[in-house]
Amino acid sequence: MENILNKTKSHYFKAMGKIKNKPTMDYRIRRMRKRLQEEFDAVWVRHEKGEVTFDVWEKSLNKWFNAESI
Amino acid sequence: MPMTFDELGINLRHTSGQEKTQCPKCSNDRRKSSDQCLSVNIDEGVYKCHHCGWKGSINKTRTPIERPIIKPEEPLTDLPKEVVKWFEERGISEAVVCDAGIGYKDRWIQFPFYKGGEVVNIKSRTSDKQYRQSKDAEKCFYRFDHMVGMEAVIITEGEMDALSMVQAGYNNVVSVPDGAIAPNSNPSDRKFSYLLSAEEHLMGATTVILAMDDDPAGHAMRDELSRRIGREKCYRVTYPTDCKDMNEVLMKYGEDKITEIITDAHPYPIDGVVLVSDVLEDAIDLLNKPDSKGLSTGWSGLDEYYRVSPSEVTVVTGVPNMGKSEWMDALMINMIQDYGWKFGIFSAENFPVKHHLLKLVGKFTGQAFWGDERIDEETARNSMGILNDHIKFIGTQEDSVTIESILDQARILNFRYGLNGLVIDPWNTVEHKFRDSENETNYVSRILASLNTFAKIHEIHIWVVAHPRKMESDNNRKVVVPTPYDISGSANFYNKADNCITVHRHKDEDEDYVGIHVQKIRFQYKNGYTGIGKLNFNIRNGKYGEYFKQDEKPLF
Repeated sequence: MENILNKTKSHYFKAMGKIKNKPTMDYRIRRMRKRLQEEFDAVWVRHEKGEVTFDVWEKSLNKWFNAESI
Repeated sequence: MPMTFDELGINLRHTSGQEKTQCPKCSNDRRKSSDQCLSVNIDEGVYKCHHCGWKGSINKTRTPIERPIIKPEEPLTDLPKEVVKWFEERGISEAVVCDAGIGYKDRWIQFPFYKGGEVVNIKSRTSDKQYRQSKDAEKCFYRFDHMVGMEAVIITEGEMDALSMVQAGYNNVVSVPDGAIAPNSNPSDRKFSYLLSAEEHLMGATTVILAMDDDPAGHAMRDELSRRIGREKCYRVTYPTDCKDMNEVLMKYGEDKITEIITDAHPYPIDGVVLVSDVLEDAIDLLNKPDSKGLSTGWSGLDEYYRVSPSEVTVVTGVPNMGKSEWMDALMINMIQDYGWKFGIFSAENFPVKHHLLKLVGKFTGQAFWGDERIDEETARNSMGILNDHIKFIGTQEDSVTIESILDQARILNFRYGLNGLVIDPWNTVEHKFRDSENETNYVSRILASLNTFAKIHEIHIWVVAHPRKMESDNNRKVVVPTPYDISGSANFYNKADNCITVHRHKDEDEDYVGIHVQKIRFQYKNGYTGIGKLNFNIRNGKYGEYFKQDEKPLF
């Protein structure tokens, strides 16, 4: 379990380091980013409990980061 | 050969998919050093620079998309006496346990998942309810082979419940592999991936009895499964008050009680006579919900007139070139961004699909997709990456699309992805096949009834865009706002739809706005009341915004 957690952490920070955050004035995009971030938080918690796979975790992360890059 | 893109100096933002970035070989020497000339396919591990021609591949050891499915070995079925006793204490006899091929290793009881006579997965549990499954194994129903070719299928939430029903004499019982879903959660499609392999058998079954646990998670699972399978053939069971699942019923009341519960299974209340007791709990749920209103369209100026609720049909009309389809697309994007809704779209006037997709991306990002200041490729790709999960285009291949074929495709999409909305735009491009001696009025009535039923069974909101018969002008030669009675075909558009909206652009010396004329709302307590919402249309990005009069516009 510990290895899995380290994997997600390093993956997360690596992806976070590469993201180009684009500030936006569009409130709907900001709301979407917040929603996707909250969804990702929930997925991460469920991943730590072993309820979802790494692929689901990764897909949720990519979706959120995609929204941050719009 | 390099192992990673990092070793080559290629900076990537994502971990999968296709991406454009700067070339480590030539970008630093170029005047336009920010140009993203290097295309990288992360999944396949290949890259190519469109400026200097540098290309190659990395030695990818992991392909995240195509992960091979591993079949586990059959479990050892030589069970210790303690395990047999453990099952017997729960009302399940040794004969049933042996027949199910249950195994035991260390302290784990192993439930083999047979499909086509082979073990494709093993779920293990301990007596203190710890669970695990075989790594990279196929997801399918437990006891999959027992649902093949069955007219009636019973679905339970766990293996013990399924075995309890086998003990009571039912053979056509399967169990979901991953248990229930959290209530009020938004389950991923992967959570229901086991439905894909069972699609043929569930679609072929005439009766599906859902025997989930009697708790919030079980109810959520039952509702989602019934929504995807189709409520017209789903039945619910009612447990005794002191039991929450089939195994408890078996332990406390015995096999006969299980037979009684299955015999008394009652259909989802969708048609025919509905007793108060059938909907009592649903009504109480609605009463206790803190916010039982429909969802906001994303425009606060429209909230008091029109909100979106599941299981309804909205007819949208308006004279040509007034923005019906544009507004429909904008509403769809708002629902995706605000609530993560998933849509099936039949939009014949926007073929080929690539044009429609770009229009949607423009609305999604708030940036134009044409002209000098158009959206950049990276942003477009990121947006499409998100939209891919939320939008499915329907009817792109057929020569003649009928409402029935659209609903068939929507039914399958809903089964696989869990749709929330379906858009049919416009009505006149659909091929209408009248039955013998059926006139247009009867036809429209019949089709709208089928749309209504589909919306209610699957809890999907359906929007139908329909043109009026002809454009009419008033004495000042201004175009009159059409009503749903003016829609070509039948007054049934007004009578049978839950909500009716006319999109009309008002332009004169004083004002210039898009009027959303809400002409009918069936459930006014939650979805608003008739009236006119005003919006501004931005032609550059195709987005609709809140309406401000010219002299009311904020200075900053």
